[in-house]
Amino acid sequence: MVKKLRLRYAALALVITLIIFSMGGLLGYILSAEKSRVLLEEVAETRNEMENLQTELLYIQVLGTEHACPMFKKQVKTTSEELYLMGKQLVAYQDAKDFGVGFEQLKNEYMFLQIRTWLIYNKLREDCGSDDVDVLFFYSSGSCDGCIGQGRILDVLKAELGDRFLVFAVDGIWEQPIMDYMKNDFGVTELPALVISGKTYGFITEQELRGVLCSEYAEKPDFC
Amino acid sequence: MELELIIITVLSFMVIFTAVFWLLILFEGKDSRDPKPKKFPPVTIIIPAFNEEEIISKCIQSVLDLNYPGKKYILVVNDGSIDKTAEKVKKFLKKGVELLNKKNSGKADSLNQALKKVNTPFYVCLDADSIVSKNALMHMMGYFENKNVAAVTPAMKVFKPKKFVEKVQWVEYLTSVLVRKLSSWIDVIIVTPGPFSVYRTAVIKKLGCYDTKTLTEDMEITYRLHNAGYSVENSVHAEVFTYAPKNLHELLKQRMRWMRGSYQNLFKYSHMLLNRKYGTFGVVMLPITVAALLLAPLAVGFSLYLLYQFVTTLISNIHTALVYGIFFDISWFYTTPFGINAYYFVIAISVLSLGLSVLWLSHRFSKEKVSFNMKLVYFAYILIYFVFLNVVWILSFFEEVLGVGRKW
Repeated sequence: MVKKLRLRYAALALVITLIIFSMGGLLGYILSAEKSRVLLEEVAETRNEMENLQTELLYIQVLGTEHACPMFKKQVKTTSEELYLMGKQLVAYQDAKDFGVGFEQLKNEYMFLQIRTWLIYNKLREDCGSDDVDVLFFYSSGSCDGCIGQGRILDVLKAELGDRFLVFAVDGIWEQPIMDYMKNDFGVTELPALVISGKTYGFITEQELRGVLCSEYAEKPDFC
Repeated sequence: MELELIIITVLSFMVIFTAVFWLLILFEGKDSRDPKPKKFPPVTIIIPAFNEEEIISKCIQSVLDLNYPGKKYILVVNDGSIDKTAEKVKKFLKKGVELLNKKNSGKADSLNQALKKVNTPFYVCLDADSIVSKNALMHMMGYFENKNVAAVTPAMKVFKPKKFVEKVQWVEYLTSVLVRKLSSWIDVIIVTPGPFSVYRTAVIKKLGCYDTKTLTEDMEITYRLHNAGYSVENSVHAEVFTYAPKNLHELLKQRMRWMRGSYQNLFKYSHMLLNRKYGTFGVVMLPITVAALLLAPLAVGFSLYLLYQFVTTLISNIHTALVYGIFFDISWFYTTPFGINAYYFVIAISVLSLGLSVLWLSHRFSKEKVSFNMKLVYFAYILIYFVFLNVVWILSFFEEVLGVGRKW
C-alpha cells in the first residue's frame, strides 16, 4: 500500500523560512551599514574640523595672533568631545561584533584623528596656555582587565569637570607604527595606561585620579 | 566569528522551518472535530501494570466510567508486580475486570499475552499510571469508519502537575497535543502513545503483534503501521491524563528510554527514509526527525557557549556597575540588548516569537489558559528544556551505539 505524499507544506515552509532569513540578513546588513555610514560621515566632518585646526595652529605660529587662542581652544575642545562620543560608538559596535562594511577603515581614521587632535591640543596649550587638563588614555579593544573600569572612572570625572577635562582615548593594540612609537615614548607596557602632563600611570582609582587632577589644576575643582 | 554565524544560522533555520511547517498545516484550517461513530463495536481495554498499586484503582475506575454504548472488556495484565497491584485489581473482578498474572517480561510481552485473549475488533492499550476521560472512546471510534485507519491516538496531558519538573512537562505535552493533531492531518504521527491508543485488532495481529526487543513498543508499532501503509489518526478531544516523572532523575531515565527507542526504530525502518512509497511520513517527517538528531550536539554546544557568553558578560557588567556605579553611557544607544549584533538579534526575536506563538496556540488548541503564574515554567520550557532534551538525545545515542543494557 502506497501512502500519500504531501510536499507542499514542506516546500512552502522552506520558502517562508528562506524569506525570513533573507529579511533578517538584509535588515542586519542595512542596520550595520547605516551605522557605518553615519560614523563615516561624522569622521569626515571631524577630519575637516581637524584640518581647520591644523591650519589655525599654523596661523598662530606664523602670525603670532594670540587673541585667536580662546577661539581655537574652544574648537579643539569641541572636536575632542565629538571624538570622545565617536569612540564610544566604535567600542560598542566592536563589542557587539557589529562590523559593518569598512569598519577597520573607520577605526583607523578615528584613531589618526584622535592622535592628531591630541597633538594639536598640546601645541595650542603650549602656545596659548590653558588651565585645562588632558589625559591620553591607552585602552585595549581586546581582553583587558581594568580597561572598562578605567573608562568608567574617566567618564565620571568628565561628567563632573566638563570641557576642563579632555580625554583622548587610543587603542593600545592598534597595529600602526605611531602606536608603537607613542607607547615606547611614554613607557606604556601594560593596559590600561594614562598619560597626564607627560607622566604615565597604570590603572588608577577614582580617588587617586582626583588627587592627581587636583595637583594639575591652578583653579581647583570643587572636589579638591 | 564566521563559524559562530554559520552555526546559529543552521540551528535557527531548522527551528524556524519546523515551526513554520506546523503553523502552515494549522492555518489551513482543517476541522479538529471528531467524526461521530456510526457503530459501537466491542472494545477490549488492556492495562499492562507493573508495581502500580498507587494508581491502578483510579485507572480502572476511569475505564469503568467510560461513556461508551458498546461492550467494553477490561483486561489487566499484572506483569510480575511485587507490590499490591494484583490485590487492588482483584477488588474490581466483580465489576467484570479480568486479571492476567504473569512473570515479569516487559510491557510488549504483556500486551502480546493479552492480545491472545482479545476477540474484539478493537482494543486499547492503557498505561496503568493514566486516567482516561469519560468521552474519550466516543471521540476516537468514529475515525475507524475509514478502513485504512489502524490506530487512533488521544490527547495526552499531565495529571495534576505539582512540581516544577511536572509543570514543564505539562507545557510540553500541550505542545504535543497540537503537534500530534497536525501530524494526523498529514498522516505522519510518529508514535501511538501507551496511554489509551486504540488499535484495529486484526491489523496488529496480522503484523505480528508487539516487538519485545524494542524499548518503545508504542513507537515501533506505529512505524510498522506506516510501513504497511496504514494511517494513524488523532482525537484532540479524547483526553487522557498521565503521571509524569516528578524529578530530573526520573525524567532523564524516561527520556533516555524514549530517545533510545527512537534511534532503534530509525535504524530498523531506515528503508522508509526519503522513500516516496511511504508518503509524507517517509519523505518529510523522518528526514526532519533525523535532522533534529544530527543537529542535537550542535544545539547543545552552541547553547552552552551562548549561555557562557551571556553569564560572563552579565557578571562583568554587574561587577563594573557595583565598583564604578551605573553610569549612563551614550554607547547604549548603539548596541542591541546583551551586546548581540543586529543579525543575531533579528534571528533571536524570530525564534522567540515563534516559540511564544506555538506555546499560545498549544494552549488554545487544548482549551487551556495561559497563566502568568507559569511564566517561569514557560521560560524554562522555551529556553532551557530543549537543551536538556538535546543532551538526552546525545547521551542516548551513545548508549544505543555502545549497546548499554536495554531496560524499561
